[in-house]
Amino acid sequence: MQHTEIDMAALKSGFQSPVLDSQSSFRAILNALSFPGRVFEVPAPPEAPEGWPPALAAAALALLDADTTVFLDAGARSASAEAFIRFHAGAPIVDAPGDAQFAVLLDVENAGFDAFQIGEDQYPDRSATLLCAVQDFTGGPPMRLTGPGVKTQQDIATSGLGSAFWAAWTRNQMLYPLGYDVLLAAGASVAGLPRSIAAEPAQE
Amino acid sequence: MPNQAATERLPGGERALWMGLLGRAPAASLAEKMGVLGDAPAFTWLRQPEIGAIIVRGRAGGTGAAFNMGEMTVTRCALRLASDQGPVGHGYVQGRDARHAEHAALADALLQSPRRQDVLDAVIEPLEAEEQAKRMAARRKAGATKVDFFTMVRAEG
Repeated sequence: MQHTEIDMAALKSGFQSPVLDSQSSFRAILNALSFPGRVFEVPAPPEAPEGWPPALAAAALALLDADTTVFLDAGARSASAEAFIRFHAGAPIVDAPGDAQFAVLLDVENAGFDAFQIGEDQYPDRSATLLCAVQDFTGGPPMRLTGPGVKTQQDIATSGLGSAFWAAWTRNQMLYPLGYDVLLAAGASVAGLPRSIAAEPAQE
Repeated sequence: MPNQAATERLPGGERALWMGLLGRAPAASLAEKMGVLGDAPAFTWLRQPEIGAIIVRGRAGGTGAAFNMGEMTVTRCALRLASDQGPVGHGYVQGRDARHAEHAALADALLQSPRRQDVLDAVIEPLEAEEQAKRMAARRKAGATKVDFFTMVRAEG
Protein backbone atom coordinates (compact mmCIF):
# COMPACT_ATOMS: atom_id res chain seq x y z
CA MET A 1 0.00 0.00 0.00
CA GLN A 2 1.64 3.22 -1.03
CA HIS A 3 0.99 6.40 0.86
CA THR A 4 0.86 9.54 -1.20
CA GLU A 5 -0.45 12.84 -0.03
CA ILE A 6 -4.00 13.78 -0.91
CA ASP A 7 -4.06 16.68 -3.35
CA MET A 8 -5.78 19.22 -1.09
CA ALA A 9 -5.88 21.95 -3.72
CA ALA A 10 -8.17 19.80 -5.87
CA LEU A 11 -10.42 18.62 -3.05
CA LYS A 12 -14.15 19.35 -3.25
CA SER A 13 -16.40 19.49 -0.22
CA GLY A 14 -18.58 16.50 0.55
CA PHE A 15 -22.08 16.22 1.97
CA GLN A 16 -23.45 19.22 3.86
CA SER A 17 -24.56 16.96 6.67
CA PRO A 18 -22.47 13.80 6.34
CA VAL A 19 -24.57 11.53 8.54
CA LEU A 20 -28.09 12.49 7.43
CA ASP A 21 -27.22 12.96 3.76
CA SER A 22 -25.44 9.64 3.43
CA GLN A 23 -28.32 7.91 5.20
CA SER A 24 -30.90 9.42 2.86
CA SER A 25 -28.70 8.66 -0.13
CA PHE A 26 -28.40 5.07 1.01
CA ARG A 27 -32.16 4.85 1.40
CA ALA A 28 -32.69 6.28 -2.09
CA ILE A 29 -30.22 3.79 -3.57
CA LEU A 30 -31.93 0.94 -1.71
CA ASN A 31 -35.27 2.07 -3.14
CA ALA A 32 -33.80 2.46 -6.60
CA LEU A 33 -32.50 -1.12 -6.59
CA SER A 34 -35.76 -2.43 -5.09
CA PHE A 35 -37.92 -0.71 -7.71
CA PRO A 36 -35.81 -0.99 -10.86
CA GLY A 37 -36.31 1.80 -13.34
CA ARG A 38 -38.01 4.21 -10.94
CA VAL A 39 -36.17 7.45 -10.38
CA PHE A 40 -35.31 8.60 -6.85
CA GLU A 41 -33.85 11.87 -5.61
CA VAL A 42 -30.69 11.93 -3.52
CA PRO A 43 -29.37 14.83 -1.41
CA ALA A 44 -26.58 15.92 -3.73
CA PRO A 45 -23.40 17.41 -2.29
CA PRO A 46 -22.86 21.04 -3.29
CA GLU A 47 -19.66 20.21 -5.16
CA ALA A 48 -18.66 17.14 -7.13
CA PRO A 49 -15.47 16.08 -8.91
CA GLU A 50 -15.11 17.31 -12.51
CA GLY A 51 -17.61 15.71 -14.83
CA TRP A 52 -19.48 13.78 -12.14
CA PRO A 53 -23.22 14.32 -11.84
CA PRO A 54 -23.97 15.33 -8.23
CA ALA A 55 -25.99 12.15 -7.69
CA LEU A 56 -22.97 10.08 -8.65
CA ALA A 57 -20.89 11.84 -6.01
CA ALA A 58 -23.68 11.27 -3.46
CA ALA A 59 -23.84 7.56 -4.30
CA ALA A 60 -20.07 7.24 -4.05
CA LEU A 61 -20.02 8.93 -0.64
CA ALA A 62 -22.89 6.79 0.64
CA LEU A 63 -21.56 3.44 -0.58
CA LEU A 64 -17.78 3.64 -0.40
CA ASP A 65 -15.64 3.25 2.68
CA ALA A 66 -12.25 1.90 3.65
CA ASP A 67 -13.38 -1.69 3.04
CA THR A 68 -14.57 -1.24 -0.54
CA THR A 69 -12.26 -1.07 -3.53
CA VAL A 70 -13.28 1.30 -6.28
CA PHE A 71 -12.30 1.64 -9.94
CA LEU A 72 -12.59 4.99 -11.72
CA ASP A 73 -12.71 5.01 -15.51
CA ALA A 74 -10.53 7.38 -17.50
CA GLY A 75 -13.20 10.08 -17.59
CA ALA A 76 -14.01 9.83 -13.89
CA ARG A 77 -10.41 9.75 -12.71
CA SER A 78 -8.96 13.17 -12.03
CA ALA A 79 -7.01 14.80 -9.24
CA SER A 80 -10.25 16.09 -7.72
CA ALA A 81 -11.96 12.68 -7.97
CA GLU A 82 -9.04 10.90 -6.32
CA ALA A 83 -8.90 13.49 -3.54
CA PHE A 84 -12.69 13.30 -3.13
CA ILE A 85 -12.76 9.50 -2.77
CA ARG A 86 -9.71 9.31 -0.55
CA PHE A 87 -10.57 12.20 1.76
CA HIS A 88 -14.32 11.77 2.17
CA ALA A 89 -14.77 8.01 1.76
CA GLY A 90 -11.30 6.63 2.48
CA ALA A 91 -11.81 3.95 -0.17
CA PRO A 92 -8.81 2.36 -1.91
CA ILE A 93 -8.74 3.19 -5.64
CA VAL A 94 -7.70 0.24 -7.83
CA ASP A 95 -6.35 0.30 -11.39
CA ALA A 96 -7.85 -2.95 -12.66
CA PRO A 97 -11.64 -3.22 -13.11
CA GLY A 98 -11.45 -6.87 -12.04
CA ASP A 99 -10.22 -5.90 -8.55
CA ALA A 100 -13.05 -3.47 -7.91
CA GLN A 101 -16.15 -3.92 -5.79
CA PHE A 102 -17.48 -0.61 -7.06
CA ALA A 103 -16.80 1.29 -10.25
CA VAL A 104 -17.51 4.88 -11.21
CA LEU A 105 -18.04 5.14 -14.96
CA LEU A 106 -18.50 8.39 -16.87
CA ASP A 107 -17.91 6.92 -20.33
CA VAL A 108 -20.56 4.23 -20.06
CA GLU A 109 -20.64 3.44 -23.78
CA ASN A 110 -16.99 2.40 -23.87
CA ALA A 111 -16.77 0.68 -20.49
CA GLY A 112 -15.45 -2.86 -20.83
CA PHE A 113 -18.33 -4.42 -18.91
CA ASP A 114 -16.99 -7.95 -19.23
CA ALA A 115 -13.97 -7.04 -17.10
CA PHE A 116 -15.99 -6.48 -13.91
CA GLN A 117 -16.53 -9.10 -11.25
CA ILE A 118 -19.73 -11.11 -11.53
CA GLY A 119 -19.36 -13.05 -8.29
CA GLU A 120 -18.92 -16.78 -7.77
CA ASP A 121 -21.46 -19.62 -7.77
CA GLN A 122 -21.26 -19.95 -4.00
CA TYR A 123 -20.88 -16.21 -3.37
CA PRO A 124 -22.86 -14.26 -5.99
CA ASP A 125 -22.51 -11.21 -3.77
CA ARG A 126 -18.82 -10.95 -4.62
CA SER A 127 -19.68 -8.94 -7.69
CA ALA A 128 -19.17 -5.36 -8.75
CA THR A 129 -21.68 -2.53 -8.46
CA LEU A 130 -21.29 -0.04 -11.29
CA LEU A 131 -22.17 3.60 -10.69
CA CYS A 132 -22.81 5.01 -14.16
CA ALA A 133 -23.27 8.63 -15.18
CA VAL A 134 -26.07 9.29 -17.69
CA GLN A 135 -27.57 12.52 -19.03
CA ASP A 136 -31.19 12.13 -17.90
CA PHE A 137 -33.99 9.61 -17.41
CA THR A 138 -36.53 11.05 -19.84
CA GLY A 139 -34.94 11.98 -23.16
CA GLY A 140 -33.55 8.70 -24.46
CA PRO A 141 -34.97 5.67 -26.25
CA PRO A 142 -37.50 4.00 -23.93
CA MET A 143 -36.59 0.57 -22.60
CA ARG A 144 -39.10 -1.76 -20.98
CA LEU A 145 -37.93 -3.43 -17.78
CA THR A 146 -39.39 -6.64 -16.39
CA GLY A 147 -38.37 -8.76 -13.45
CA PRO A 148 -38.41 -8.79 -9.64
CA GLY A 149 -39.44 -5.42 -8.24
CA VAL A 150 -41.48 -4.50 -11.31
CA LYS A 151 -45.16 -5.39 -10.95
CA THR A 152 -46.07 -5.42 -14.61
CA GLN A 153 -43.66 -3.30 -16.55
CA GLN A 154 -41.58 -0.21 -16.04
CA ASP A 155 -40.25 2.01 -18.79
CA ILE A 156 -37.07 4.01 -18.52
CA ALA A 157 -35.85 6.39 -21.19
CA THR A 158 -32.27 7.00 -20.24
CA SER A 159 -30.23 9.18 -22.51
CA GLY A 160 -26.58 8.37 -22.45
CA LEU A 161 -26.97 4.60 -22.67
CA GLY A 162 -26.48 3.28 -26.18
CA SER A 163 -26.81 -0.12 -27.78
CA ALA A 164 -23.41 -1.22 -26.49
CA PHE A 165 -24.64 -0.85 -22.92
CA TRP A 166 -27.90 -2.71 -23.51
CA ALA A 167 -26.12 -5.50 -25.39
CA ALA A 168 -23.77 -5.92 -22.44
CA TRP A 169 -26.78 -5.78 -20.13
CA THR A 170 -28.47 -8.66 -21.93
CA ARG A 171 -25.30 -10.74 -21.54
CA ASN A 172 -25.13 -9.76 -17.87
CA GLN A 173 -28.75 -10.60 -17.24
CA MET A 174 -28.30 -14.10 -18.64
CA LEU A 175 -25.59 -14.80 -16.05
CA TYR A 176 -28.14 -14.59 -13.24
CA PRO A 177 -27.68 -15.30 -10.28
CA LEU A 178 -24.22 -13.99 -11.15
CA GLY A 179 -23.60 -10.61 -12.72
CA TYR A 180 -22.95 -7.01 -11.81
CA ASP A 181 -25.54 -4.46 -10.67
CA VAL A 182 -25.85 -0.99 -12.10
CA LEU A 183 -26.87 2.29 -10.52
CA LEU A 184 -27.56 5.10 -12.97
CA ALA A 185 -27.04 8.69 -11.89
CA ALA A 186 -28.14 11.88 -13.62
CA GLY A 187 -28.37 15.31 -12.04
CA ALA A 188 -29.56 14.75 -8.50
CA SER A 189 -31.40 11.47 -9.09
CA VAL A 190 -30.61 7.79 -9.36
CA ALA A 191 -32.24 4.72 -10.87
CA GLY A 192 -31.27 1.11 -10.33
CA LEU A 193 -30.74 -1.84 -12.65
CA PRO A 194 -30.17 -4.97 -10.58
CA ARG A 195 -28.88 -8.02 -12.46
CA SER A 196 -32.26 -9.78 -12.25
CA ILE A 197 -33.93 -7.25 -14.54
CA ALA A 198 -34.52 -7.90 -18.23
CA ALA A 199 -34.62 -4.95 -20.62
CA GLU A 200 -35.93 -4.71 -24.15
CA PRO A 201 -36.85 -1.77 -26.39
CA ALA A 202 -40.35 -0.59 -25.51
CA GLN A 203 -43.00 -1.07 -28.24
CA GLU A 204 -44.83 2.11 -29.08
CA MET B 1 8.76 30.34 14.35
CA PRO B 2 10.82 31.01 17.42
CA ASN B 3 11.82 27.44 18.09
CA GLN B 4 13.94 26.82 15.02
CA ALA B 5 15.76 23.77 16.34
CA ALA B 6 12.59 21.90 17.27
CA THR B 7 11.08 22.73 13.89
CA GLU B 8 13.90 21.10 12.01
CA ARG B 9 13.72 17.93 14.07
CA LEU B 10 10.01 17.32 13.47
CA PRO B 11 9.10 15.16 10.47
CA GLY B 12 6.23 17.46 9.49
CA GLY B 13 8.34 20.60 9.85
CA GLU B 14 6.93 23.73 11.39
CA ARG B 15 3.38 22.76 10.45
CA ALA B 16 3.60 19.77 12.78
CA LEU B 17 4.69 22.16 15.51
CA TRP B 18 1.72 24.49 15.14
CA MET B 19 -0.77 21.64 14.61
CA GLY B 20 0.39 20.26 17.95
CA LEU B 21 0.11 23.61 19.68
CA LEU B 22 -3.37 24.26 18.26
CA GLY B 23 -4.53 20.77 19.18
CA ARG B 24 -3.31 20.95 22.76
CA ALA B 25 -4.28 24.57 23.48
CA PRO B 26 -7.28 25.10 25.79
CA ALA B 27 -10.35 26.06 23.73
CA ALA B 28 -10.91 29.35 25.56
CA SER B 29 -7.32 30.44 25.17
CA LEU B 30 -7.30 29.71 21.43
CA ALA B 31 -10.66 31.45 20.96
CA GLU B 32 -9.37 34.55 22.69
CA LYS B 33 -6.26 34.69 20.51
CA MET B 34 -8.22 34.12 17.30
CA GLY B 35 -10.44 37.01 18.40
CA VAL B 36 -7.42 39.30 18.28
CA LEU B 37 -7.15 38.62 14.52
CA GLY B 38 -10.54 40.25 13.96
CA ASP B 39 -13.53 38.80 12.11
CA ALA B 40 -13.10 35.22 10.97
CA PRO B 41 -12.38 35.06 7.23
CA ALA B 42 -14.99 33.46 4.96
CA PHE B 43 -14.47 29.76 4.33
CA THR B 44 -16.23 26.64 3.08
CA TRP B 45 -16.30 23.35 4.93
CA LEU B 46 -14.55 20.39 3.37
CA ARG B 47 -15.38 18.33 6.42
CA GLN B 48 -17.65 19.71 9.09
CA PRO B 49 -16.55 19.23 12.69
CA GLU B 50 -17.04 15.62 13.75
CA ILE B 51 -16.27 13.87 17.00
CA GLY B 52 -14.37 10.61 17.07
CA ALA B 53 -11.84 8.57 18.97
CA ILE B 54 -8.21 7.95 18.17
CA ILE B 55 -5.69 5.54 19.64
CA VAL B 56 -2.89 7.25 21.51
CA ARG B 57 0.45 5.52 21.25
CA GLY B 58 3.32 6.19 23.54
CA ARG B 59 6.59 4.79 24.74
CA ALA B 60 5.43 3.58 28.13
CA GLY B 61 7.67 0.60 28.66
CA GLY B 62 11.33 0.49 29.53
CA THR B 63 12.37 -0.87 26.15
CA GLY B 64 11.19 2.16 24.20
CA ALA B 65 8.79 0.25 21.99
CA ALA B 66 5.61 2.12 21.06
CA PHE B 67 2.55 0.93 22.93
CA ASN B 68 -1.18 1.57 22.52
CA MET B 69 -1.89 3.56 25.66
CA GLY B 70 -5.57 4.15 25.17
CA GLU B 71 -8.21 6.08 23.31
CA MET B 72 -8.93 9.77 23.44
CA THR B 73 -11.76 11.85 22.10
CA VAL B 74 -10.89 14.27 19.32
CA THR B 75 -12.85 16.66 17.16
CA ARG B 76 -11.64 17.24 13.64
CA CYS B 77 -12.64 19.37 10.70
CA ALA B 78 -11.24 20.69 7.44
CA LEU B 79 -12.02 23.93 5.66
CA ARG B 80 -10.90 25.99 2.71
CA LEU B 81 -10.54 29.76 2.89
CA ALA B 82 -12.95 31.49 0.52
CA SER B 83 -10.31 33.22 -1.57
CA ASP B 84 -9.87 31.60 -4.98
CA GLN B 85 -8.16 28.21 -4.50
CA GLY B 86 -7.58 29.27 -0.91
CA PRO B 87 -5.43 27.21 1.42
CA VAL B 88 -6.92 24.22 3.23
CA GLY B 89 -6.74 24.10 7.01
CA HIS B 90 -7.17 21.04 9.20
CA GLY B 91 -8.10 21.08 12.86
CA TYR B 92 -7.62 18.12 15.19
CA VAL B 93 -8.23 19.04 18.82
CA GLN B 94 -8.73 17.25 22.13
CA GLY B 95 -12.28 16.95 23.36
CA ARG B 96 -15.69 17.52 21.86
CA ASP B 97 -15.70 21.24 21.13
CA ALA B 98 -16.59 21.97 17.49
CA ARG B 99 -15.71 25.67 17.77
CA HIS B 100 -12.31 24.72 19.06
CA ALA B 101 -11.66 22.53 16.01
CA GLU B 102 -12.91 25.32 13.74
CA HIS B 103 -10.51 27.82 15.30
CA ALA B 104 -7.61 25.40 14.98
CA ALA B 105 -8.42 24.74 11.30
CA LEU B 106 -8.78 28.47 10.59
CA ALA B 107 -5.44 29.16 12.21
CA ASP B 108 -3.83 26.38 10.18
CA ALA B 109 -5.30 27.75 6.95
CA LEU B 110 -4.28 31.33 7.74
CA LEU B 111 -0.75 30.19 8.50
CA GLN B 112 -0.53 29.06 4.87
CA SER B 113 -1.93 32.34 3.58
CA PRO B 114 -0.39 35.81 3.23
CA ARG B 115 -1.60 36.57 6.78
CA ARG B 116 0.87 34.06 8.18
CA GLN B 117 2.93 36.56 10.15
CA ASP B 118 -0.16 37.99 11.93
CA VAL B 119 -1.16 34.52 13.08
CA LEU B 120 2.34 33.66 14.20
CA ASP B 121 2.47 36.81 16.31
CA ALA B 122 -1.07 36.77 17.68
CA VAL B 123 -1.71 33.05 18.13
CA ILE B 124 1.21 30.70 17.80
CA GLU B 125 3.83 32.54 19.84
CA PRO B 126 1.51 33.30 22.79
CA LEU B 127 0.31 29.67 22.77
CA GLU B 128 3.87 28.48 22.75
CA ALA B 129 4.72 30.75 25.66
CA GLU B 130 1.68 29.55 27.62
CA GLU B 131 2.54 25.93 27.02
CA GLN B 132 6.12 26.55 28.05
CA ALA B 133 4.97 28.31 31.24
CA LYS B 134 2.66 25.41 32.06
CA ARG B 135 5.48 22.94 31.58
CA MET B 136 7.82 24.98 33.74
CA ALA B 137 5.19 25.23 36.48
CA ALA B 138 4.73 21.45 36.47
CA ARG B 139 8.48 21.00 36.51
CA ARG B 140 8.85 23.40 39.43
CA LYS B 141 6.13 21.61 41.36
CA ALA B 142 7.82 18.30 40.78
CA GLY B 143 11.21 19.85 41.50
CA ALA B 144 10.03 21.09 44.88
CA THR B 145 9.37 17.55 46.04
CA LYS B 146 12.74 16.28 44.98
CA VAL B 147 14.52 14.30 47.67
CA ASP B 148 18.24 13.75 47.72
CA PHE B 149 19.14 10.46 49.30
CA PHE B 150 22.37 10.22 51.09
CA THR B 151 23.81 7.91 53.68
CA MET B 152 25.91 9.02 56.53
CA VAL B 153 28.92 6.96 57.11
CA ARG B 154 28.48 5.36 60.45
CA ALA B 155 31.39 5.50 62.69
CA GLU B 156 31.79 1.87 63.52
CA GLY B 157 34.25 0.07 65.54
